Amino acid sequence: MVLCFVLPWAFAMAGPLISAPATAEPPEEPALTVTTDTAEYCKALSQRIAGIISGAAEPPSEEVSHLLAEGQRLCDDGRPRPGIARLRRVLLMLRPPGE
Amino acid sequence: MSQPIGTGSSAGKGRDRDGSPHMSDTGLLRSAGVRFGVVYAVLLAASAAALALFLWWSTAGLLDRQTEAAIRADAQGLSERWPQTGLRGLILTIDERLAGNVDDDAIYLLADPAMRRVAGNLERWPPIVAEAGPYYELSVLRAGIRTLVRAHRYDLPNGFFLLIGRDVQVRAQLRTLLTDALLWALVIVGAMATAGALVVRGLFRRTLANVSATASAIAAGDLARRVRLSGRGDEFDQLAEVINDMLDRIGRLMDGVRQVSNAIAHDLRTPITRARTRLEDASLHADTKEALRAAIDRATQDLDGIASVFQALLRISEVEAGARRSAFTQLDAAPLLAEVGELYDAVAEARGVTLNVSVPGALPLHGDAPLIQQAVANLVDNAVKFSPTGGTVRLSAAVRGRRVEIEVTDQGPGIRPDEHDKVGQRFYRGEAARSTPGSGLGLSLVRAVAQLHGGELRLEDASPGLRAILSLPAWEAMHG
Repeated sequence: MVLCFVLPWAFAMAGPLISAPATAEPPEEPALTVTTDTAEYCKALSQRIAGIISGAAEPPSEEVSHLLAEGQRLCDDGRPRPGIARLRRVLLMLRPPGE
Repeated sequence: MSQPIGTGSSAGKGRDRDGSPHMSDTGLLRSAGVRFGVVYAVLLAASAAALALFLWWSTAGLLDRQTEAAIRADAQGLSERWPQTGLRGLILTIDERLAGNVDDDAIYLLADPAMRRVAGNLERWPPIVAEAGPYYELSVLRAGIRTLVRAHRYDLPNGFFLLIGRDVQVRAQLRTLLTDALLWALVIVGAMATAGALVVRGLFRRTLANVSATASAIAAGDLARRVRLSGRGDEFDQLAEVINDMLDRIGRLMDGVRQVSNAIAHDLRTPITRARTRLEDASLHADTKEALRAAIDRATQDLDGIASVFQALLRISEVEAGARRSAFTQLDAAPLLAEVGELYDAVAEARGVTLNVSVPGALPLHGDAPLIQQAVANLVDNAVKFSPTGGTVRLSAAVRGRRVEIEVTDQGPGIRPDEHDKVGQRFYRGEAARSTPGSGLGLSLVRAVAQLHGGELRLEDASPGLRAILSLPAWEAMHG
Protein backbone atom coordinates (compact mmCIF):
# COMPACT_ATOMS: atom_id res chain seq x y z
CA MET A 1 0.00 0.00 0.00
CA VAL A 2 2.70 2.42 1.04
CA LEU A 3 4.81 1.34 -1.93
CA CYS A 4 2.05 2.47 -4.28
CA PHE A 5 2.75 6.00 -3.18
CA VAL A 6 6.49 5.81 -2.68
CA LEU A 7 7.66 4.00 -5.80
CA PRO A 8 6.14 6.28 -8.45
CA TRP A 9 7.46 9.29 -6.60
CA ALA A 10 10.92 7.75 -6.38
CA PHE A 11 10.97 6.87 -10.06
CA ALA A 12 9.74 10.29 -11.05
CA MET A 13 12.42 11.97 -8.99
CA ALA A 14 15.23 9.65 -9.99
CA GLY A 15 14.48 9.28 -13.69
CA PRO A 16 16.09 12.49 -14.88
CA LEU A 17 19.14 11.80 -12.76
CA ILE A 18 19.68 8.30 -14.05
CA SER A 19 19.03 9.00 -17.68
CA ALA A 20 22.12 11.17 -17.64
CA PRO A 21 25.24 9.27 -18.74
CA ALA A 22 26.99 7.61 -15.86
CA THR A 23 30.45 8.31 -17.19
CA ALA A 24 31.47 11.88 -17.79
CA GLU A 25 32.06 12.72 -21.39
CA PRO A 26 35.60 13.86 -22.06
CA PRO A 27 35.88 17.53 -22.87
CA GLU A 28 34.84 18.42 -26.39
CA GLU A 29 37.78 19.02 -28.70
CA PRO A 30 38.59 18.18 -32.30
CA ALA A 31 38.46 14.41 -32.29
CA LEU A 32 41.62 12.48 -33.07
CA THR A 33 41.41 10.00 -35.89
CA VAL A 34 42.63 6.43 -35.61
CA THR A 35 44.68 5.66 -38.66
CA THR A 36 44.32 1.89 -38.57
CA ASP A 37 40.63 2.01 -39.48
CA THR A 38 41.16 3.34 -42.97
CA ALA A 39 41.21 1.87 -46.45
CA GLU A 40 44.89 2.85 -46.68
CA TYR A 41 45.75 0.69 -43.70
CA CYS A 42 43.67 -2.07 -45.21
CA LYS A 43 45.77 -1.83 -48.38
CA ALA A 44 48.99 -1.76 -46.36
CA LEU A 45 47.95 -4.92 -44.51
CA SER A 46 47.03 -6.63 -47.82
CA GLN A 47 50.45 -5.81 -49.24
CA ARG A 48 52.13 -7.09 -46.11
CA ILE A 49 50.20 -10.35 -46.36
CA ALA A 50 50.99 -10.66 -50.05
CA GLY A 51 54.69 -10.28 -49.23
CA ILE A 52 54.53 -13.03 -46.65
CA ILE A 53 52.64 -15.38 -48.97
CA SER A 54 54.98 -14.80 -51.88
CA GLY A 55 58.01 -15.51 -49.69
CA ALA A 56 56.52 -18.68 -48.28
CA ALA A 57 57.52 -22.12 -49.52
CA GLU A 58 53.98 -23.39 -49.63
CA PRO A 59 50.81 -21.81 -50.93
CA PRO A 60 48.38 -20.49 -48.30
CA SER A 61 45.67 -22.68 -46.94
CA GLU A 62 42.14 -22.46 -48.17
CA GLU A 63 41.03 -20.80 -44.95
CA VAL A 64 43.72 -18.13 -45.23
CA SER A 65 42.84 -17.48 -48.85
CA HIS A 66 39.16 -17.23 -48.00
CA LEU A 67 39.73 -14.84 -45.10
CA LEU A 68 42.10 -12.74 -47.17
CA ALA A 69 39.64 -12.46 -50.01
CA GLU A 70 36.81 -11.62 -47.63
CA GLY A 71 38.89 -8.97 -45.89
CA GLN A 72 39.88 -7.32 -49.14
CA ARG A 73 36.29 -7.41 -50.37
CA LEU A 74 35.03 -5.73 -47.19
CA CYS A 75 37.71 -3.03 -47.51
CA ASP A 76 36.76 -2.49 -51.14
CA ASP A 77 33.11 -2.24 -50.10
CA GLY A 78 33.93 0.65 -47.77
CA ARG A 79 33.84 -1.36 -44.54
CA PRO A 80 37.48 -1.13 -43.51
CA ARG A 81 37.16 -2.17 -39.83
CA PRO A 82 35.71 -5.67 -40.42
CA GLY A 83 38.00 -6.03 -43.40
CA ILE A 84 41.06 -5.13 -41.34
CA ALA A 85 39.93 -7.51 -38.59
CA ARG A 86 39.96 -10.41 -41.08
CA LEU A 87 43.31 -9.39 -42.52
CA ARG A 88 44.76 -9.31 -39.00
CA ARG A 89 43.52 -12.85 -38.45
CA VAL A 90 45.20 -13.86 -41.71
CA LEU A 91 48.45 -12.35 -40.48
CA LEU A 92 48.10 -14.25 -37.26
CA MET A 93 47.54 -17.50 -39.13
CA LEU A 94 50.57 -16.88 -41.34
CA ARG A 95 52.92 -16.37 -38.43
CA PRO A 96 55.38 -19.18 -37.89
CA PRO A 97 54.41 -21.37 -34.94
CA GLY A 98 55.95 -20.18 -31.66
CA GLU A 99 56.47 -16.58 -32.75
CA MET B 1 5.73 14.56 42.24
CA SER B 2 5.26 12.70 39.02
CA GLN B 3 2.34 13.60 36.87
CA PRO B 4 -0.16 11.02 35.74
CA ILE B 5 0.04 9.76 32.20
CA GLY B 6 -1.84 11.79 29.69
CA THR B 7 -2.21 14.91 31.82
CA GLY B 8 0.07 17.91 32.15
CA SER B 9 3.21 16.13 31.08
CA SER B 10 1.87 15.64 27.58
CA ALA B 11 1.57 19.31 26.84
CA GLY B 12 2.16 19.97 23.18
CA LYS B 13 1.31 16.43 22.29
CA GLY B 14 -2.09 14.88 21.81
CA ARG B 15 -3.39 11.40 21.61
CA ASP B 16 -4.85 9.55 18.67
CA ARG B 17 -8.11 7.74 18.96
CA ASP B 18 -6.25 4.50 19.65
CA GLY B 19 -4.60 6.10 22.64
CA SER B 20 -1.18 6.44 21.07
CA PRO B 21 0.47 9.81 21.29
CA HIS B 22 0.70 11.79 18.05
CA MET B 23 3.52 14.17 17.50
CA SER B 24 3.52 17.60 16.05
CA ASP B 25 5.82 18.20 13.10
CA THR B 26 8.38 19.88 15.31
CA GLY B 27 8.38 16.94 17.69
CA LEU B 28 8.48 14.34 14.93
CA LEU B 29 12.09 13.39 15.54
CA ARG B 30 11.36 13.00 19.23
CA SER B 31 9.03 10.14 18.35
CA ALA B 32 10.65 6.77 19.06
CA GLY B 33 8.57 5.27 16.24
CA VAL B 34 9.98 7.75 13.75
CA ARG B 35 13.48 7.14 15.05
CA PHE B 36 13.09 3.37 14.67
CA GLY B 37 11.76 3.91 11.16
CA VAL B 38 14.63 6.21 10.24
CA VAL B 39 17.19 3.81 11.68
CA TYR B 40 15.62 0.98 9.68
CA ALA B 41 15.68 3.05 6.49
CA VAL B 42 19.25 4.22 7.02
CA LEU B 43 20.49 0.71 7.76
CA LEU B 44 18.73 -0.71 4.71
CA ALA B 45 19.97 2.09 2.46
CA ALA B 46 23.52 1.80 3.82
CA SER B 47 23.51 -1.96 3.29
CA ALA B 48 22.20 -1.54 -0.24
CA ALA B 49 24.78 1.17 -0.98
CA ALA B 50 27.57 -1.05 0.34
CA LEU B 51 26.32 -3.91 -1.83
CA ALA B 52 26.08 -1.65 -4.87
CA LEU B 53 29.58 -0.35 -4.22
CA PHE B 54 30.91 -3.88 -4.03
CA LEU B 55 29.10 -4.84 -7.23
CA TRP B 56 30.48 -1.78 -8.94
CA TRP B 57 34.00 -2.50 -7.74
CA SER B 58 33.79 -6.12 -8.84
CA THR B 59 32.34 -5.41 -12.30
CA ALA B 60 32.83 -1.94 -13.73
CA GLY B 61 35.89 -1.41 -11.55
CA LEU B 62 37.25 -4.75 -12.70
CA LEU B 63 36.89 -3.72 -16.34
CA ASP B 64 38.86 -0.54 -15.66
CA ARG B 65 41.51 -2.45 -13.76
CA GLN B 66 41.81 -5.00 -16.58
CA THR B 67 42.27 -2.22 -19.14
CA GLU B 68 44.93 -0.56 -17.04
CA ALA B 69 46.69 -3.88 -16.47
CA ALA B 70 46.73 -4.54 -20.22
CA ILE B 71 48.19 -1.08 -20.87
CA ARG B 72 50.85 -1.58 -18.20
CA ALA B 73 51.79 -4.99 -19.60
CA ASP B 74 51.99 -3.53 -23.09
CA ALA B 75 54.15 -0.67 -21.86
CA GLN B 76 56.49 -3.01 -20.06
CA GLY B 77 56.96 -5.12 -23.20
CA LEU B 78 57.70 -2.06 -25.32
CA SER B 79 60.05 -0.53 -22.76
CA GLU B 80 62.04 -3.75 -22.75
CA ARG B 81 62.43 -3.46 -26.55
CA TRP B 82 63.80 0.08 -26.41
CA PRO B 83 67.27 -0.70 -24.98
CA GLN B 84 67.66 -3.68 -27.36
CA THR B 85 66.50 -2.24 -30.64
CA GLY B 86 66.30 1.48 -30.10
CA LEU B 87 63.83 3.78 -31.81
CA ARG B 88 63.69 1.81 -35.04
CA GLY B 89 62.98 -1.42 -33.23
CA LEU B 90 60.30 0.22 -31.18
CA ILE B 91 58.61 1.56 -34.32
CA LEU B 92 58.66 -1.91 -35.87
CA THR B 93 57.29 -3.46 -32.71
CA ILE B 94 54.41 -0.98 -32.61
CA ASP B 95 53.63 -1.71 -36.25
CA GLU B 96 53.74 -5.45 -35.54
CA ARG B 97 51.41 -5.11 -32.58
CA LEU B 98 48.97 -3.01 -34.54
CA ALA B 99 49.01 -5.50 -37.39
CA GLY B 100 48.39 -8.38 -35.04
CA ASN B 101 45.74 -6.63 -32.94
CA VAL B 102 42.91 -9.02 -33.68
CA ASP B 103 40.79 -7.48 -30.91
CA ASP B 104 41.02 -4.18 -32.78
CA ASP B 105 41.28 -2.18 -29.57
CA ALA B 106 44.93 -1.12 -29.33
CA ILE B 107 45.98 2.52 -29.59
CA TYR B 108 49.67 3.48 -29.88
CA LEU B 109 51.36 6.75 -30.57
CA LEU B 110 55.12 7.28 -30.49
CA ALA B 111 56.03 10.98 -30.62
CA ASP B 112 59.34 12.81 -30.87
CA PRO B 113 60.40 15.55 -28.46
CA ALA B 114 58.40 18.05 -30.52
CA MET B 115 55.30 15.88 -30.04
CA ARG B 116 55.25 14.96 -33.72
CA ARG B 117 53.94 11.54 -34.60
CA VAL B 118 56.66 8.98 -35.31
CA ALA B 119 54.66 5.75 -35.25
CA GLY B 120 51.31 4.37 -34.12
CA ASN B 121 47.70 4.66 -35.14
CA LEU B 122 46.71 8.08 -33.78
CA GLU B 123 47.03 10.93 -36.21
CA ARG B 124 48.54 13.34 -33.64
CA TRP B 125 49.35 13.70 -29.97
CA PRO B 126 46.24 14.56 -27.91
CA PRO B 127 46.80 17.91 -26.17
CA ILE B 128 45.12 16.89 -22.91
CA VAL B 129 47.64 14.11 -22.29
CA ALA B 130 50.15 16.34 -20.54
CA GLU B 131 51.46 14.13 -17.75
CA ALA B 132 52.77 10.62 -17.37
CA GLY B 133 50.91 9.86 -14.17
CA PRO B 134 47.17 9.61 -14.71
CA TYR B 135 45.03 7.65 -17.12
CA TYR B 136 43.19 9.75 -19.68
CA GLU B 137 39.92 9.14 -21.43
CA LEU B 138 40.09 10.37 -25.01
CA SER B 139 37.42 10.73 -27.59
CA VAL B 140 38.64 9.45 -30.98
CA LEU B 141 37.12 8.82 -34.38
CA ARG B 142 37.21 5.30 -35.65
CA ALA B 143 35.95 4.96 -39.21
CA GLY B 144 33.94 8.11 -38.62
CA ILE B 145 32.42 6.94 -35.36
CA ARG B 146 33.32 8.61 -32.08
CA THR B 147 34.57 6.15 -29.47
CA LEU B 148 36.21 6.30 -26.09
CA VAL B 149 39.86 5.43 -25.47
CA ARG B 150 41.56 5.00 -22.11
CA ALA B 151 45.22 5.89 -22.44
CA HIS B 152 48.43 6.46 -20.49
CA ARG B 153 51.53 8.42 -21.34
CA TYR B 154 55.05 7.04 -20.91
CA ASP B 155 58.12 9.20 -21.19
CA LEU B 156 60.94 7.50 -23.11
CA PRO B 157 64.67 8.27 -23.19
CA ASN B 158 65.90 11.04 -25.53
CA GLY B 159 62.71 13.06 -25.07
CA PHE B 160 60.40 10.63 -26.91
CA PHE B 161 56.88 10.01 -25.71
CA LEU B 162 54.73 6.94 -25.98
CA LEU B 163 50.96 6.86 -25.66
CA ILE B 164 49.36 3.46 -25.10
CA GLY B 165 45.63 3.05 -24.94
CA ARG B 166 42.70 0.75 -25.36
CA ASP B 167 39.38 1.28 -27.06
CA VAL B 168 36.94 1.01 -24.13
CA GLN B 169 33.76 2.04 -25.92
CA VAL B 170 32.06 -1.31 -25.40
CA ARG B 171 33.22 -1.46 -21.81
CA ALA B 172 32.05 2.11 -21.26
CA GLN B 173 28.62 1.18 -22.58
CA LEU B 174 28.59 -1.83 -20.32
CA ARG B 175 29.64 0.34 -17.41
CA THR B 176 26.88 2.82 -18.20
CA LEU B 177 24.32 0.04 -18.25
CA LEU B 178 25.64 -1.29 -14.98
CA THR B 179 25.66 2.14 -13.41
CA ASP B 180 22.10 2.77 -14.51
CA ALA B 181 21.01 -0.59 -13.13
CA LEU B 182 22.71 0.03 -9.80
CA LEU B 183 21.30 3.54 -9.51
CA TRP B 184 17.82 2.27 -10.27
CA ALA B 185 18.35 -0.47 -7.71
CA LEU B 186 19.37 2.18 -5.17
CA VAL B 187 16.28 4.22 -5.99
CA ILE B 188 14.09 1.16 -5.50
CA VAL B 189 15.90 0.32 -2.29
CA GLY B 190 15.42 3.91 -1.15
CA ALA B 191 11.71 3.64 -1.88
CA MET B 192 11.55 0.29 -0.12
CA ALA B 193 13.47 1.71 2.82
CA THR B 194 11.05 4.63 3.05
CA ALA B 195 8.07 2.31 2.85
CA GLY B 196 9.67 -0.07 5.34
CA ALA B 197 10.38 2.81 7.68
CA LEU B 198 6.74 3.85 7.54
CA VAL B 199 5.65 0.26 8.19
CA VAL B 200 8.10 -0.08 11.10
CA ARG B 201 6.89 3.21 12.53
CA GLY B 202 3.27 2.07 12.16
CA LEU B 203 3.98 -1.27 13.81
CA PHE B 204 5.82 0.45 16.63
CA ARG B 205 2.99 2.91 17.16
CA ARG B 206 0.34 0.20 17.06
CA THR B 207 2.24 -1.94 19.53
CA LEU B 208 2.86 0.93 21.91
CA ALA B 209 -0.70 2.19 21.47
CA ASN B 210 -1.90 -0.98 23.19
CA VAL B 211 0.34 -0.38 26.22
CA SER B 212 -0.31 3.35 26.18
CA ALA B 213 -4.09 2.90 26.05
CA THR B 214 -3.93 0.50 28.99
CA ALA B 215 -1.77 2.90 31.00
CA SER B 216 -4.15 5.77 30.19
CA ALA B 217 -7.16 3.71 31.23
CA ILE B 218 -5.50 2.75 34.51
CA ALA B 219 -4.50 6.36 35.10
CA ALA B 220 -8.16 7.27 34.53
CA GLY B 221 -9.23 4.81 37.21
CA ASP B 222 -9.98 1.61 35.29
CA LEU B 223 -7.70 -0.61 37.37
CA ALA B 224 -9.07 -3.79 35.82
CA ARG B 225 -7.74 -2.92 32.36
CA ARG B 226 -4.88 -5.10 31.05
CA VAL B 227 -2.56 -5.00 28.03
CA ARG B 228 -3.92 -7.11 25.14
CA LEU B 229 -1.76 -10.04 24.03
CA SER B 230 -1.36 -10.67 20.32
CA GLY B 231 -0.97 -14.39 20.91
CA ARG B 232 2.24 -14.53 18.90
CA GLY B 233 4.35 -15.02 22.01
CA ASP B 234 6.91 -12.50 20.80
CA GLU B 235 8.88 -9.96 22.83
CA PHE B 236 5.94 -7.56 22.90
CA ASP B 237 3.70 -10.30 24.26
CA GLN B 238 6.33 -11.08 26.87
CA LEU B 239 6.47 -7.40 27.79
CA ALA B 240 2.68 -7.28 27.95
CA GLU B 241 2.65 -10.33 30.22
CA VAL B 242 5.21 -8.72 32.52
CA ILE B 243 3.19 -5.51 32.63
CA ASN B 244 -0.01 -7.43 33.30
CA ASP B 245 1.68 -9.45 36.07
CA MET B 246 2.93 -6.21 37.54
CA LEU B 247 -0.56 -4.71 37.39
CA ASP B 248 -2.02 -7.85 38.98
CA ARG B 249 0.50 -7.68 41.79
CA ILE B 250 -0.16 -3.97 42.31
CA GLY B 251 -3.88 -4.78 42.39
CA ARG B 252 -3.33 -7.48 44.99
CA LEU B 253 -1.18 -5.16 47.08
CA MET B 254 -3.80 -2.44 46.87
CA ASP B 255 -6.48 -4.93 47.86
CA GLY B 256 -4.32 -6.00 50.79
CA VAL B 257 -3.74 -2.42 51.88
CA ARG B 258 -7.45 -1.72 51.53
CA GLN B 259 -8.31 -4.83 53.49
CA VAL B 260 -5.84 -4.00 56.28
CA SER B 261 -7.10 -0.41 56.39
CA ASN B 262 -10.67 -1.63 56.65
CA ALA B 263 -9.71 -4.19 59.28
CA ILE B 264 -7.84 -1.61 61.34
CA ALA B 265 -10.78 0.78 61.13
CA HIS B 266 -13.23 -1.97 62.00
CA ASP B 267 -11.25 -3.56 64.84
CA LEU B 268 -10.23 -0.32 66.48
CA ARG B 269 -13.57 1.44 66.21
CA THR B 270 -15.21 -0.80 68.81
CA PRO B 271 -12.66 -0.38 71.64
CA ILE B 272 -12.23 3.33 70.92
CA THR B 273 -15.99 3.86 70.94
CA ARG B 274 -16.25 1.78 74.08
CA ALA B 275 -13.53 3.77 75.83
CA ARG B 276 -15.12 7.05 74.76
CA THR B 277 -18.54 5.95 75.96
CA ARG B 278 -17.15 4.84 79.31
CA LEU B 279 -15.31 8.10 79.82
CA GLU B 280 -18.34 10.12 78.77
CA ASP B 281 -20.59 8.07 81.00
CA ALA B 282 -18.21 8.49 83.92
CA SER B 283 -17.95 12.21 83.29
CA LEU B 284 -21.73 12.60 83.35
CA HIS B 285 -22.77 10.07 85.90
CA ALA B 286 -19.90 9.06 88.18
CA ASP B 287 -20.90 10.00 91.70
CA THR B 288 -17.84 8.94 93.52
CA LYS B 289 -14.16 9.18 93.05
CA GLU B 290 -13.86 5.36 92.96
CA ALA B 291 -16.47 5.02 90.23
CA LEU B 292 -14.63 7.63 88.16
CA ARG B 293 -11.29 5.87 88.67
CA ALA B 294 -12.81 2.50 87.73
CA ALA B 295 -14.19 3.96 84.51
CA ILE B 296 -10.80 5.48 83.65
CA ASP B 297 -9.08 2.14 84.36
CA ARG B 298 -11.44 0.30 82.02
CA ALA B 299 -10.92 2.92 79.31
CA THR B 300 -7.18 2.60 79.80
CA GLN B 301 -7.45 -1.17 79.29
CA ASP B 302 -9.32 -0.57 76.06
CA LEU B 303 -6.65 1.84 74.90
CA ASP B 304 -3.91 -0.64 75.91
CA GLY B 305 -5.64 -3.20 73.69
CA ILE B 306 -5.52 -0.74 70.82
CA ALA B 307 -1.86 -0.03 71.50
CA SER B 308 -1.11 -3.76 71.51
CA VAL B 309 -2.77 -4.15 68.10
CA PHE B 310 -0.56 -1.41 66.68
CA GLN B 311 2.46 -2.95 68.36
CA ALA B 312 1.63 -6.32 66.79
CA LEU B 313 1.23 -4.68 63.38
CA LEU B 314 4.56 -2.93 63.71
CA ARG B 315 6.20 -6.16 64.84
CA ILE B 316 4.86 -8.06 61.80
CA SER B 317 6.06 -5.30 59.48
CA GLU B 318 9.45 -5.36 61.13
CA VAL B 319 9.70 -9.13 60.76
CA GLU B 320 8.53 -9.05 57.14
CA ALA B 321 11.10 -6.37 56.35
CA GLY B 322 13.83 -8.75 57.52
CA ALA B 323 15.37 -6.16 59.80
CA ARG B 324 15.77 -8.72 62.58
CA ARG B 325 17.87 -11.07 60.49
CA SER B 326 21.07 -9.40 61.69
CA ALA B 327 20.22 -10.57 65.22
CA PHE B 328 20.23 -14.27 64.24
CA THR B 329 22.35 -16.56 66.38
CA GLN B 330 22.79 -20.28 66.84
CA LEU B 331 20.30 -21.35 69.48
CA ASP B 332 18.61 -24.33 71.05
CA ALA B 333 14.83 -23.96 70.81
CA ALA B 334 14.09 -26.67 73.40
CA PRO B 335 14.43 -24.40 76.47
CA LEU B 336 12.37 -21.73 74.71
CA LEU B 337 9.53 -24.19 74.17
CA ALA B 338 9.77 -25.39 77.77
CA GLU B 339 9.46 -21.78 78.96
CA VAL B 340 6.37 -21.28 76.80
CA GLY B 341 4.92 -24.49 78.25
CA GLU B 342 5.51 -23.27 81.78
CA LEU B 343 4.07 -19.85 80.98
CA TYR B 344 0.84 -21.21 79.51
CA ASP B 345 0.42 -24.10 81.92
CA ALA B 346 -1.36 -21.88 84.43
CA VAL B 347 -3.44 -20.19 81.76
CA ALA B 348 -4.54 -23.53 80.35
CA GLU B 349 -5.34 -24.83 83.77
CA ALA B 350 -7.48 -21.80 84.50
CA ARG B 351 -9.50 -22.57 81.37
CA GLY B 352 -9.83 -26.23 82.23
CA VAL B 353 -7.48 -27.29 79.44
CA THR B 354 -4.61 -29.74 79.76
CA LEU B 355 -1.33 -28.64 78.24
CA ASN B 356 1.08 -31.45 77.37
CA VAL B 357 4.61 -30.41 76.50
CA SER B 358 6.93 -32.91 74.80
CA VAL B 359 10.27 -31.39 73.83
CA PRO B 360 13.43 -33.37 72.95
CA GLY B 361 16.84 -32.65 74.40
CA ALA B 362 18.03 -30.21 71.74
CA LEU B 363 16.48 -28.32 68.83
CA PRO B 364 19.36 -26.58 67.04
CA LEU B 365 18.22 -23.52 65.12
CA HIS B 366 19.74 -20.40 63.66
CA GLY B 367 17.50 -17.43 64.27
CA ASP B 368 16.06 -14.87 66.59
CA ALA B 369 15.17 -16.58 69.91
CA PRO B 370 12.60 -14.02 71.15
CA LEU B 371 10.78 -14.10 67.80
CA ILE B 372 10.66 -17.90 67.72
CA GLN B 373 9.43 -17.96 71.30
CA GLN B 374 6.79 -15.33 70.46
CA ALA B 375 5.61 -17.38 67.45
CA VAL B 376 5.29 -20.58 69.52
CA ALA B 377 3.53 -18.64 72.28
CA ASN B 378 1.02 -17.32 69.72
CA LEU B 379 0.30 -20.87 68.55
CA VAL B 380 -0.15 -22.15 72.12
CA ASP B 381 -2.24 -19.11 73.03
CA ASN B 382 -4.57 -19.78 70.09
CA ALA B 383 -4.78 -23.49 70.93
CA VAL B 384 -5.65 -22.84 74.58
CA LYS B 385 -8.12 -20.12 73.64
CA PHE B 386 -10.03 -22.28 71.18
CA SER B 387 -9.88 -25.59 73.10
CA PRO B 388 -13.08 -26.62 74.85
CA THR B 389 -13.09 -27.08 78.59
CA GLY B 390 -11.58 -30.48 79.37
CA GLY B 391 -9.68 -30.50 76.13
CA THR B 392 -5.98 -31.15 75.64
CA VAL B 393 -3.33 -29.03 73.93
CA ARG B 394 -0.10 -30.73 72.88
CA LEU B 395 3.12 -28.82 72.33
CA SER B 396 5.77 -31.06 70.83
CA ALA B 397 8.85 -30.68 68.69
CA ALA B 398 11.23 -32.94 66.78
CA VAL B 399 14.13 -32.82 64.39
CA ARG B 400 12.91 -34.36 61.12
CA GLY B 401 15.58 -34.64 58.48
CA ARG B 402 17.13 -31.22 58.13
CA ARG B 403 14.26 -29.38 59.75
CA VAL B 404 13.02 -28.66 63.23
CA GLU B 405 9.25 -29.05 63.41
CA ILE B 406 7.30 -27.58 66.32
CA GLU B 407 3.71 -28.84 66.53
CA VAL B 408 0.83 -27.40 68.53
CA THR B 409 -2.33 -29.49 68.46
CA ASP B 410 -5.67 -28.60 70.03
CA GLN B 411 -9.15 -30.08 70.12
CA GLY B 412 -10.98 -26.90 69.21
CA PRO B 413 -13.23 -26.17 66.24
CA GLY B 414 -10.25 -26.09 63.85
CA ILE B 415 -9.98 -24.08 60.65
CA ARG B 416 -11.65 -25.04 57.38
CA PRO B 417 -9.08 -26.17 54.75
CA ASP B 418 -10.17 -23.38 52.39
CA GLU B 419 -9.27 -20.87 55.10
CA HIS B 420 -5.76 -22.19 55.75
CA ASP B 421 -4.13 -19.79 53.31
CA LYS B 422 -6.10 -16.80 54.54
CA VAL B 423 -5.40 -17.07 58.26
CA GLY B 424 -1.90 -15.69 57.68
CA GLN B 425 -3.36 -12.42 56.43
CA ARG B 426 -3.52 -9.55 58.87
CA PHE B 427 -6.82 -9.31 60.77
CA TYR B 428 -8.27 -12.36 59.05
CA ARG B 429 -10.44 -14.34 61.42
CA GLY B 430 -11.88 -17.72 60.51
CA GLU B 431 -15.54 -18.60 60.76
CA ALA B 432 -15.07 -20.46 64.03
CA ALA B 433 -13.05 -17.63 65.59
CA ARG B 434 -15.48 -14.78 65.04
CA SER B 435 -17.04 -15.18 68.48
CA THR B 436 -13.71 -15.43 70.30
CA PRO B 437 -11.81 -12.31 71.36
CA GLY B 438 -8.70 -11.64 69.33
CA SER B 439 -7.13 -9.34 66.79
CA GLY B 440 -6.50 -11.73 63.90
CA LEU B 441 -2.79 -10.91 63.98
CA GLY B 442 -1.40 -13.90 65.89
CA LEU B 443 -0.97 -16.29 62.97
CA SER B 444 0.17 -13.41 60.75
CA LEU B 445 3.14 -12.94 63.05
CA VAL B 446 3.83 -16.70 63.14
CA ARG B 447 3.81 -16.91 59.37
CA ALA B 448 6.08 -13.84 59.11
CA VAL B 449 8.53 -15.34 61.63
CA ALA B 450 8.54 -18.65 59.72
CA GLN B 451 9.28 -16.89 56.44
CA LEU B 452 12.00 -14.77 58.05
CA HIS B 453 13.76 -17.97 59.15
CA GLY B 454 13.35 -19.67 55.79
CA GLY B 455 10.63 -21.96 57.14
CA GLU B 456 6.89 -22.30 56.85
CA LEU B 457 3.69 -22.57 58.86
CA ARG B 458 1.49 -25.54 57.98
CA LEU B 459 -2.03 -26.04 59.25
CA GLU B 460 -3.57 -29.51 59.30
CA ASP B 461 -6.85 -30.97 60.43
CA ALA B 462 -6.28 -32.86 63.74
CA SER B 463 -9.81 -34.40 63.76
CA PRO B 464 -10.94 -32.87 65.94
CA GLY B 465 -9.05 -29.66 66.27
CA LEU B 466 -6.15 -28.05 64.49
CA ARG B 467 -2.52 -29.01 64.18
CA ALA B 468 -0.22 -26.05 63.53
CA ILE B 469 3.31 -27.01 62.47
CA LEU B 470 6.08 -24.44 62.52
CA SER B 471 8.80 -25.95 60.33
CA LEU B 472 12.22 -24.27 60.46
CA PRO B 473 15.60 -25.24 58.94
CA ALA B 474 17.83 -26.94 61.50
CA TRP B 475 21.23 -25.41 62.26
CA GLU B 476 23.09 -28.36 60.66
CA ALA B 477 20.98 -28.04 57.53
CA MET B 478 22.01 -24.42 57.15
CA HIS B 479 25.68 -24.79 58.01
CA GLY B 480 26.45 -28.51 57.71
